Amino acid sequence: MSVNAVLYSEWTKIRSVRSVAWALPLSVLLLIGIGIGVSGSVGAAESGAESFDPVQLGYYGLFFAHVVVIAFAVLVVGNEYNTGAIRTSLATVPQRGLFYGAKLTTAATLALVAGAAASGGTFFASQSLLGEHGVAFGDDGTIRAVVSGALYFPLLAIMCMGITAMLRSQMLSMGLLVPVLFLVSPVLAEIPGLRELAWYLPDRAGQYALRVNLDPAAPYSPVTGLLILALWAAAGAVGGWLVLRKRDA
Amino acid sequence: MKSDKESTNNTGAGPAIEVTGLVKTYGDKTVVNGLTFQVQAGVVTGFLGPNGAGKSTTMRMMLGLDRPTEGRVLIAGRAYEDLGEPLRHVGALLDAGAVHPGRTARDHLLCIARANRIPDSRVEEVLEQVGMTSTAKRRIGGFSLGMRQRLGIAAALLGDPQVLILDEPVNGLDPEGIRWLRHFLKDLTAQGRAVFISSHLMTEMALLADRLIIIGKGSLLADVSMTKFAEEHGRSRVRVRSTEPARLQAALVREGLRVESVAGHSLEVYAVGADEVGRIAAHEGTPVLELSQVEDSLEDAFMRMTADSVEYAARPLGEVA
Repeated sequence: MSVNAVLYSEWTKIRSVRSVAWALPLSVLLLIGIGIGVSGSVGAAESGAESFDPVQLGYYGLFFAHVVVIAFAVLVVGNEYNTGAIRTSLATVPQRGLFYGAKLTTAATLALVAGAAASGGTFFASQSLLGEHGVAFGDDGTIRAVVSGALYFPLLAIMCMGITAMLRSQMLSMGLLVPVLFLVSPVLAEIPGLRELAWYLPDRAGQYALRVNLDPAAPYSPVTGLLILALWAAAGAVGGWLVLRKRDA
Repeated sequence: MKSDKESTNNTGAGPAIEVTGLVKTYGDKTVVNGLTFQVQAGVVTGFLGPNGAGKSTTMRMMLGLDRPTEGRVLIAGRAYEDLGEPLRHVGALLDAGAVHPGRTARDHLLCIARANRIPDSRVEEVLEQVGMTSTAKRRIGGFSLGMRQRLGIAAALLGDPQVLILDEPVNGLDPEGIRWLRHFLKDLTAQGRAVFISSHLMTEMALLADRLIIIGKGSLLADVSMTKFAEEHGRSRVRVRSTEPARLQAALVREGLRVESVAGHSLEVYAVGADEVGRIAAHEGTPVLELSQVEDSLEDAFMRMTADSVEYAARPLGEVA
């Protein structure tokens, strides 16, 4: 079997379903749009605060953008199970590793492209709006933050695709991932005792890599934060593979 | 894995599909219980059994989707996952509903074709073959079940395969669609292809299949040609009621007919028309009170054969607990 052919097929699948095709462009618009809105409106007023982080402010929209990335990832894998199309897919590509690898590679590559556009876009737009309160690309931590912002998309997507392959259900995956990342993570961060645990959740860990004004309470460095997210992604991908590898389709 | 222009031609080289000692259990429930049979090229083989007999499970194992607990399936002498680009050898329709409703018919076929390096132009060809060219750009969500069946058959044809595996292809087709399918399958087998179709209705099989594989509760009940099955089971007979059954019976036997006497002065006469029986009775001078043709349908024969193995039998009302 040709790897390129399977990648091309997976690209065709993504491109040909409207909700999936529009998810990533929407996430880019959300991140940049909200970044511009927040930086332009409250940026100057916030700049006096001790915890003020001009780069992080530009990523304010990530809270919403990453829900769209999660939806994209869950749909890419979940559409197969939701409709039963997984059987057609596996009858077409019986090498399950090839099928799974091609699907994750295609979707993660697209998420990386979207992440790069969104991360770069929001950084430059928000810093220019912040003016004297902003930072320049190349200042301490900025390159790492922008690169991490780009990587945040595909890493989160890989984790969610893996979890969806484990649960083999679109609804279950969406019902688990969106509340956990949208609600549990922020709430946990407010509860004493559990606050420490929240640092190791994938979204919190990954987002710490976007800061330049570091939190003294953080148990790790920004780069480690990104690596923790990468571990989550790897665990998800492996978990999904273990289920797909042996289960009857 | 090398896959360049592998020959899709398996004529003359053994059976198209070879199922050997196939077993599938889920926990302590045995769904497929030691099936062994072969599907030959050039004929439509019907895979018949009541709902829950294990037909779909068997078909999924043929396609490498479910792993057999025991036994194996070879297609053109090879395991499914060793076929290289499988669609060039085997085309399958498992569940016409298993498609994303948001995709157009053409995009759905492109997704499948491209994974096996089948050229995009082939998609237009199969759409034409199943008569869906005009609906190619419509989203599948708006399709009737019959249209989805046609789309599923189009997908099965993409790789111009020598073997077709179709699970309940008649489901949702209107009479015109069934007629179309019948001619279509005949054309495919005339080209030397093997067609394996499942159904739970004998009447459908009588129209479509040349050979029958009948299973019940996962076990093989019959592996027979359609003609032979019809000869053995499709018993047409004449029922005649007379005031003098004994005399009439003797007269009929003298004519070389097989006669059985049944309750209430009635006789059943095999392999003969009602007019012939009437003529003999008139000649003999025995008064005839009733004379009728009785058809024992293939459906009845199939029902009798699988009566013990029906998974979900309906109980007559009133016969509770």
